[in-house]
Parts: sequence; structure tokens; C-alpha cells
Amino acid sequence: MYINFWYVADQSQNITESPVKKKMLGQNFVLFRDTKGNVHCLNDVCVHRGGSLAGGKIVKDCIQCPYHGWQFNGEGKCQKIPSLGKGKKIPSRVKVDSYPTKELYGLVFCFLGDLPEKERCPIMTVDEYEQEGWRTTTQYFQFDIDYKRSIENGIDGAHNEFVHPTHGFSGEDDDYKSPSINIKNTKWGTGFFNEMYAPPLKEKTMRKASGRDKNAVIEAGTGHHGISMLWTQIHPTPDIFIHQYMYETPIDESHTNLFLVNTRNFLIEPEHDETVMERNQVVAFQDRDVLINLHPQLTPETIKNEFFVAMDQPIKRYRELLDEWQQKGWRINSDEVSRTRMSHAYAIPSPNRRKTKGWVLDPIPTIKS
Amino acid sequence: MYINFWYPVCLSNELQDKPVKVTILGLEFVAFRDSNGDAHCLSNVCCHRGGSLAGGLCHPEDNTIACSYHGWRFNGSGKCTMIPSLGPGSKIPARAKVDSYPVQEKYDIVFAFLGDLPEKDRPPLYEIEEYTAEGWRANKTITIDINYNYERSIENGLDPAHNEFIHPTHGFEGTKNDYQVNPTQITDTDWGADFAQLFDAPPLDKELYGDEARQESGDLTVFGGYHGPNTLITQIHTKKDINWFHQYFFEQPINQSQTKIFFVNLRNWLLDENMDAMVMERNMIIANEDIAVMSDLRPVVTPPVKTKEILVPADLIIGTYRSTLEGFKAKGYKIDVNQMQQQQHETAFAIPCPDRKTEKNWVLDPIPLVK
Repeated sequence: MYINFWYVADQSQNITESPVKKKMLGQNFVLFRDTKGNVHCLNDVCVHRGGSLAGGKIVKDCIQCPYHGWQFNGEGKCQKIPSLGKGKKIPSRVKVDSYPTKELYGLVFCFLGDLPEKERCPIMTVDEYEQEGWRTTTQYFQFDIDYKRSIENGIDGAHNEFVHPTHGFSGEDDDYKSPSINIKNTKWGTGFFNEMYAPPLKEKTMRKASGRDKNAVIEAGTGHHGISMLWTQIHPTPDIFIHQYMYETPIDESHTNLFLVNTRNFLIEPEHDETVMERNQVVAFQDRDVLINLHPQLTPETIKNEFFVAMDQPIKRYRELLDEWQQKGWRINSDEVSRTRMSHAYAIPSPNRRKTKGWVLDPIPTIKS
Repeated sequence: MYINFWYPVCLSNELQDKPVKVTILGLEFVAFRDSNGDAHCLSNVCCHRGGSLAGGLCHPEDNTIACSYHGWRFNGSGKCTMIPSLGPGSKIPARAKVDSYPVQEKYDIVFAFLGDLPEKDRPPLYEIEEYTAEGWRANKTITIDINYNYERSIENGLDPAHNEFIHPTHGFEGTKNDYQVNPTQITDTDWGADFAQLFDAPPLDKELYGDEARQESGDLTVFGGYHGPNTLITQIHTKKDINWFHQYFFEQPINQSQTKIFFVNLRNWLLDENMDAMVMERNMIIANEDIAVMSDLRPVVTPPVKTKEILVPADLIIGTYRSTLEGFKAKGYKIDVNQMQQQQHETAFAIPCPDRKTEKNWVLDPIPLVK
């Protein structure tokens, strides 16, 4: 798992003025909304004696620790230590890490790391969101898988034929061969478009709307952006588009939250949302059922322990980027965290750590290159 | 976790005609009662080929327990008295013995001294003077299972600043403008410390406690302290000379993150036995309020260095407790948990019993201690 990326904590509608605890990258965070409507994300461990802030309540736009009532504002600064009595000065060390947040596409994004704004990998955009002629649905899944395995699955052009019977011919076609792919690399990702021979859409309403009831060559593209974001564009006919954006958040090494923003330019009446979401869920579960049984559970440390073919090129590139980010010191040393878990509470360093000193919790150990 | 203290093993009434297996300080023990009614506590690992003694049977005819695996019998002193495979009358080798620990039964609890100190050097079991005194009534002793570290639990019991926030009935939830924690008066004792703490408390619920209850908000004094690493004392004096609740928590560290609390509580008012249920219900409401917050503390054990927390004046008694623990560590009583975990699959350890000071030939390795 890697610090210094934007991760989705939850859907906007779930973050209210009652604090909630969210686990991301193996660490606990508390999220709440202040009276101005702004969302805040803080490290969950109180720097006094380890209380879980999320168990407390919001008082004057501060999260109040349930244990001794210390109050921290949205920037993580302590505003009140009740036991000291009124008007006492709060020492400058009394602060917890607070992370940048953004609300986009109905999702709450948190930047879990200390990079300055201009150096951050941007959030993958959904250009179709709320555009005329497009309709968006958002879905949430939680799977017991390594998010990297899931991202690799997303940029894998050869699995559809077998994992998703509706998308291909399950290898029954004698001429089947993976289509050639046209890889495009960006600074933060890899993607490709290809043409594939596909059966008509399976779901009746969607097939009818597509106007295609025969096998045909269709255009599709997919790619990843940053550590855990995926895009997929399916063009069942030259006019009909399904564009999907998946934001994945590792809960820990082997559990992942997936937020799927699906946009479409056909069947855009709300009454069709259910049908579309149901299809997406069928496909997501087909992937999950294969992914939960992969061995090893986590992507191997080197590609030497797997046999790659031409269609695995995008995955190779994803792993090269992972190595690059590891070289930058962004990869969490999960073995060390696990070895010391009883006696150490860590914090993912927040941007403020580059500006001020005097932090109580140790920064989470990362792998040194 | 520390050896050389008295630890609660089980409730007296849980020990009848079957052996009872208990995990304390990360190791397994077996307790059983012999035909004279005396309780015994042994290391649970049979020194033959690792059977669990607690899986076997009690033999009242010779006051032994038999290992579940090959029937070797051990008496209350841990000595093997019979090895069935050798045949009747065979000599038992001197090495065929397991660690046996001194036992006391008090307050309806079976306690064992888990360590090897000779009797004169042992920290005593905490004495509750009013336990049998006239004018006092004790609730039935109960156990409370919690999923957090026992030292965190003891610190919570000593902590004068948490009541206001965790227990709404005990304070004003920080809503009082002049709220501040009063200084804690601390007195060192032989194996711990006592404190006196003045609180500004709301009135007691008249419906529950009747006309004798304090009806105005005002001063309430709590006396308390700790004795050894795992005994907590809380004496709540709702009025100066009368209406006292005395509570004693004997904590059993199962391992670093699980604890069983043996809870003894007495009062010198509301003496009618019909009040037992109400008092216990109140106690459990308070206990559950603590459990809800304490289960989520991070890290699980208190950090090894002070800079990983921010301690304020209200944490004075917490600091005293931690210094006492440092003292126990300096005496060589602290278990090296990391070492123990590293070897857990290849080594069965025993906490050394007092006999190890006078006899040789022990099969299991003594538990590693922090040097």
C-alpha cells in the first residue's frame, strides 16, 4: 500500500455531522462534516492517551475525544483540554494529522500523504458527470481482495472472454486470439484501446437500446490512473457509450472498497438506473469470484514469479510505476507495521508535517530504497 | 506483563470436580480441586509429550489430575505420581514434574502466585479489610471479559479526567464552564500507590438510591490506588463519613490484548440484599461505558516511550503507575513478549514456580524475561 495518493473514504451522503471511523491503508481515520458543510479527515488516534476520536462527538466544529474530551478542529489542532481548566494555553504538540479532502462526483476523496499540492497525482476526472446527454450511477462494493490485483484485472484485456461470458464467447470461438492493443502511457498511468469481437448486449432493454442484435467488432478501452483508479470505455456501437470510473481504496492489504461511477449516453432516463447497476454488479461479482482465489493473495514482488504474455504489457507497466513510487519512499512497510502493531500507533504524515515540527505519533514506516 | 505477583485464576465456584484451563500472561495453566477441597494451579503442559493436562480428569482417590494424552498423573505439587505405560510400581524419574504455583482462595476467587519468589519476598495479595466487617455488604464476585490490555484498564481506573466524558452520570460532560481536574494527592505504598481525588459531582439519582443519597451537586472524594501491576482499588465516598462504595478489581491479563477482570464490590449503605441487583446494574452500566471507549485505544499497549503521548497534570497518577512498572522491570519481572512470540511454535514455556529455586531438573524452559 502506498501513501501520497487520493483515496475515496466514502460517498458524500454518508459523511455527516456525526463522526465516522474509516479504515484506509490499514490505518483508522475519523471523518466528519462541519457546520459550513466542509468535510474533514483526521488521524483517529488522540495524541493524549490513544482514544479513538471517531467514538466521540462534534462540538463547535471540533471532534471531541470520547475519553477525556480534548477537542480538535478540522485542521487537527487541539482547541480545548478540559482537565487543565478554562483559558489554559494548549501546547503546540497537541495536534493530530489532518488530510486534504475534496468532494467530487458524490465521493469524498482524502489525500493520504504529505506531498505539496502541485506534486500530487490528480484525481481521475469524470468528464461526463452531470453533462447533458449523460446519466451517472454510483455503486459501492467491498471485496476481500488486494486492490492491486483488482487494478491489474481492470487493465487486463484478456480476461473478459473467460470471466465475463456476456462480454465474449468464453473461448469457444476457434479463431479467438487476444486483439492487439494500442498502449498509451501517461505520467501516472497506462491505458489502451482495442477492437474486440463481441456478442450483442445480453440484457434485453440494453440490447434493444443499442440497436445491435448481432455479433460485431466493438471498440473498448481501459486504463489505470495512479495507484488505484481505473477507467473503462465500452462502445457497443459507434454511438452508444458506457464510460466507467472505478476508485478503489485499500482498507488493508487484503480488503478493498470499490466505488464505481458509471456514466452512459443511452437509456438516460432514471428508470433504467436499476438495470444498469444490476448488470455492473453481475460483472463485478464475476471478477471478484476469480480474484478472491488468486495465489498469492497479493501481487508478487517480481514478475519473475509469474509468466507474462503480450496482453500483460499494461500490467507490467503498472508494476513498473509501483516500483517507481516505492523508490520515492511511498510504499508502506506493512511487515514492520504488523510486527509493531501492539505497541505503536502510527500516522500517515499529513502535508502539515512539512511545515511544522512537534508531532506525537511516528510517521508510518515506509520501505526505504 | 510481569511475573511474581498474585493473579486471579478463576472464581471459587468454577472449580469443582473437573480441571479448568486458564490462560494468564499468555501461558496456559490448569486449576483443580483435590478431595480435601484444596485448590491447585499447575503449568498446563505435560512434560512427557506436551499434552494439555486440563483435557484430562481429576482423580480424587489419589488427589491427582491425569494428562489427557497418556494418563500420566500429577499431584497438586506438580510431581508425577504415576506413568501408566511403565507398569505398576515403577520408579518415577525426578524430572517428571510440572511447575506448581502457590494458591490462595479469597473473596470467592482462586488466586495463584505466578513466579518463583520465596514466600517472604512475595508481594502480598491485596487485603480488603472491610470484606467481612460488620456494616458492609458485598455483591457476589463476578468476572468481566474485556478486549483490551490490562495496563490500559488499570490506568483507566486511576484516571481522574475521564469520568466527566465517559460517564455522563458522574460528571457534567465538560459542559461546566469552570471545570478543571483538581490536583491528585498521591502516597507511595510498598507495591504501588494510593491516591485521593476531589471531584465536583452531580447529585445521585434519588429514585435509585433513596433519601440517603446526596441531593446536591458538590464535593465527592474518591480514594483509590493500585497494588502490583494488576490490582486496582476505587473507593467512592459519596458523602464524607457515610455512603461509601468500595470496589476492587483483580485483573487477569490473558495476553496483551485480552483481560478478565475479577470484580469485588462492597458498600456500607443500601445494605438490604434487595439493593444488590440495582448496585450491580449501575456498576455494569459504568463498566460498559468504559469498555466502549477503551476497546478502541491505540496502540493496544501503552507506548514504550512518553514522547508518543501527551501527558498533562491530570495524568500524574498514570505516570506514577508507569514508574512502578519500570521498577518491576528493573527487578527482572517483566516478560519478554517479543521473544516469547518468536519462539511460540517451537517452545512451550513455563513461568518458573518457587520450587525451581530449590530443585533442579525442569523440562520446560522458563519464560524469557526482559533483562
